[in-house]
Amino acid sequence: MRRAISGLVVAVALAAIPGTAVAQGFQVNEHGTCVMGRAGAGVASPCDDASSIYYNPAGLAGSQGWTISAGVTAIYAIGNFTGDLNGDETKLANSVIPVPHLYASYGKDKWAAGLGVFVPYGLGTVWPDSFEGRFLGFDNDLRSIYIQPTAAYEVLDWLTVGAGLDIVIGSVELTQRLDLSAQALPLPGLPAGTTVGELGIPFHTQFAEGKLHASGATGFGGNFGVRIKPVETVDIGIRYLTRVKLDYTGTATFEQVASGLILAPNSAIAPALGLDPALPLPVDSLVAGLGLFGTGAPLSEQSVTTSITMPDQLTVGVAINAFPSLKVLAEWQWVHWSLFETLEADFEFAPDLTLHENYRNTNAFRFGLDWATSDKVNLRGGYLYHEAAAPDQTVTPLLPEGPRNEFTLGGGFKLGSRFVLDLAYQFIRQDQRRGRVRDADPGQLPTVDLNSGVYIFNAHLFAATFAVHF
Amino acid sequence: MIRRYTKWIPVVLVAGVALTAACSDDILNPPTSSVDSLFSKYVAIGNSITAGFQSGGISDSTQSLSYAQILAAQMGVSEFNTPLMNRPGCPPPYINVFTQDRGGYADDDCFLRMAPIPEFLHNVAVPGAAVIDALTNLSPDSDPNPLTTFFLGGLTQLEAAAIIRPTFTSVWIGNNDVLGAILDANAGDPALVTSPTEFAANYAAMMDSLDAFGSIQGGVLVGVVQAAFAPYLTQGRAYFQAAATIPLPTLTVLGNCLTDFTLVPGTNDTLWVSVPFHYGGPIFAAAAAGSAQTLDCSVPQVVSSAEMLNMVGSVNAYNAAIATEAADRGWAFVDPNPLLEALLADPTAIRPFPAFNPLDPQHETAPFGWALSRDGVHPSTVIHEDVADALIAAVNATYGTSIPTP
Repeated sequence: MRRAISGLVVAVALAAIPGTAVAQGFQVNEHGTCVMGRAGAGVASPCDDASSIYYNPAGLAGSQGWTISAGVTAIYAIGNFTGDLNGDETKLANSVIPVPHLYASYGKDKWAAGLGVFVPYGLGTVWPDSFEGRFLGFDNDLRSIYIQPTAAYEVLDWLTVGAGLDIVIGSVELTQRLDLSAQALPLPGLPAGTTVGELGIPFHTQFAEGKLHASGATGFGGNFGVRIKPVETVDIGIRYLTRVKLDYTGTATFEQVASGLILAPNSAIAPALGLDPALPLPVDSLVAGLGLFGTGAPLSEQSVTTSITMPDQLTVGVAINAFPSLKVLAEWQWVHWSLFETLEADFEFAPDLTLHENYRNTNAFRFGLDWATSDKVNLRGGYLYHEAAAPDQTVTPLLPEGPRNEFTLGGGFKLGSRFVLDLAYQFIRQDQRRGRVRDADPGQLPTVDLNSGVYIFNAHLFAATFAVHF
Repeated sequence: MIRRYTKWIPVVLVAGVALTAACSDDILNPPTSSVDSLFSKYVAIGNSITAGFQSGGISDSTQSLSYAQILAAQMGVSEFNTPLMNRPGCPPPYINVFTQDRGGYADDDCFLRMAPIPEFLHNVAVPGAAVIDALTNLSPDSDPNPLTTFFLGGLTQLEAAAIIRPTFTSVWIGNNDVLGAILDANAGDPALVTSPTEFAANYAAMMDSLDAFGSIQGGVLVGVVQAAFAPYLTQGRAYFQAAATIPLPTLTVLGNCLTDFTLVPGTNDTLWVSVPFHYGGPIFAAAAAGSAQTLDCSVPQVVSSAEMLNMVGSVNAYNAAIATEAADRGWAFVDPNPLLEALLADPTAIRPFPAFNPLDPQHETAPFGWALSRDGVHPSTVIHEDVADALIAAVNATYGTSIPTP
């Protein structure tokens, strides 16, 4: 059995590809179908599927025997950007993405231990490569896979504690087009720092595609939880997930892409490059001849390093057994998103990249109901509200994030004495949010004045988890 | 059991209301006009005048004085981007046209586009552009110059205009289809004047392209200026009179400068042999400096009265074609030549003879009269305002709008 679990952990870790982030920032909170049905409220009264390894490690205490659960959340994200200028709509090109989760626990007397694999931070945004925002990133993927061995102990009848060691494996991939107009052109006779745009090349003229890929970053953190039962019908839960800094080392590759531009004869650019000004000047031939992509050149294949800190989270919740068969849950979560100020990439040859994010700490409020309609069936529902982590000037194609209202429905079905099947559906309705498709000018910080349209994001999530107890 | 929970229904309803209130959607912020939605996305197509070229140069200072800029402001558009050039310019405007002083800068000095460059342009006009240049930069008949690339970077005016899918456009282009014949060393050469047939075909193709945008709801077309009457050309008889009245014994003006004239068929108008400034100016300056000079109006450098007639006739044909294009679409049409004729009647507005004399108070500031900038071809700021007024009146009359005059 141990060997089988080990194999499953590897499989889930490899398959743990997050969809577009479905909580604040690039946080993902859907790591158990039962809790998802309750709008993610799981800190005070965990579900009996070992998902408390993530939601509150203290929740493991009191379980008896083995519990193994495996499931998947299918995320169908629908989004688009509509520009102010012409009302053109560009649709998000994400496909339906399955996000698996896996838990195993064993409890005896007052002790319990377990292992979970989940992805609390991740994003995946795919836009068409013709999208105006492709210069900020059109095919982006970030995943932080947490593998968490956990232990929990019932200290008193009314007090349980738990803790887990998070082994975090991260990868990041950013793909963007490069804007020729923003490139410096160090030619004799031109002032230092003169850009190609100052010679007339139009804004957002693509000439290359850059892809940053870094994987294998590892970090360590902890997940700590406490559950208190002050009275028989009330449970209070507190859980803290520590921050984890991941240092990525990877590779950046660049390839030329066609601009299609042909400069008219008699331009000032041709003589500056020693070319015949009487002839038309195809920009693509010009770029190809600059040697930008050769070995050791600025856009050659090169190493790149970057760091991202997965922020810490604090969750506090209460569960009230309002009626013998009805549980009412409420939860508040704070996420330390202000840690995500910039995303900096240090390239071996190319100019370094700094994306200013300046995220804000966020609060989330979750309300759930769990109604045991019979010994075999539980029905669940809930509502949650997430604040936006991204400030108004940082709503970009990388993560067009905003405040979200989310609605959930779910059900748990006992199949015999050992098996439980949980099903849940979640609808995410993000507020339509103004955002930008361009970066700030060199040396400038982004402002809301750069926002040029509205991002719309909604998602449908379908989840199923199968749990077995023995 | 179920009935026990019916008391939760109000809670659910309240929650639903709360959820609705919790949604806070941002909205699009499309371009607007405070006057009429017709003008919400205005694009200006044209040549040097529309671009804001004055005194032989262009910079953000002169560009901001263009009639197109004034029109956009009066239309109350929320955005009107121009490919602004850094000062002192590209090239810097003349300080003194007689000494060709550009403030110490050379004729080919250019101080590049102003950073940051805008995401898209509303004023896509390019100095030097003829009608064919709006369609293509790469045709053998095109005549692009460095500003073509500085402004449009490989796009044509139509391609740059299409990006914003304009709702309204002004088009004032065609002046260079005839003006090139004045500025050339062989001034007046009929081969340098676009034939009316070719002009009409190019103009129609340009208008068809604008129609193909599918977004333009209206526009105003401006006719071609009778370049033959530009102050850059000075009638030969004015040189004759100047040599006699100054007096300037070192300058001999031959009788062919006085006698060469042509009556315009069907009118009482007379066209005189005319001397372009680039030819007559140096002769006059050398004579004033004491060197014996002779001005012969029979040389190719001078525009004969027959050549003048060809230019005038061509422009009349151009304007007929432009008026037809406007009428076909129900667009406004403005003929700038009545304004020019009124100015010609005022010798302070358009001087019959340039202010060569350094002691003349207008020698530096308005050598060709207050209606012209220092190059004798491009209108002054005051005339840009008058042109804007004329366009506003025509647009308001055509579309029933209420664009205020400045």
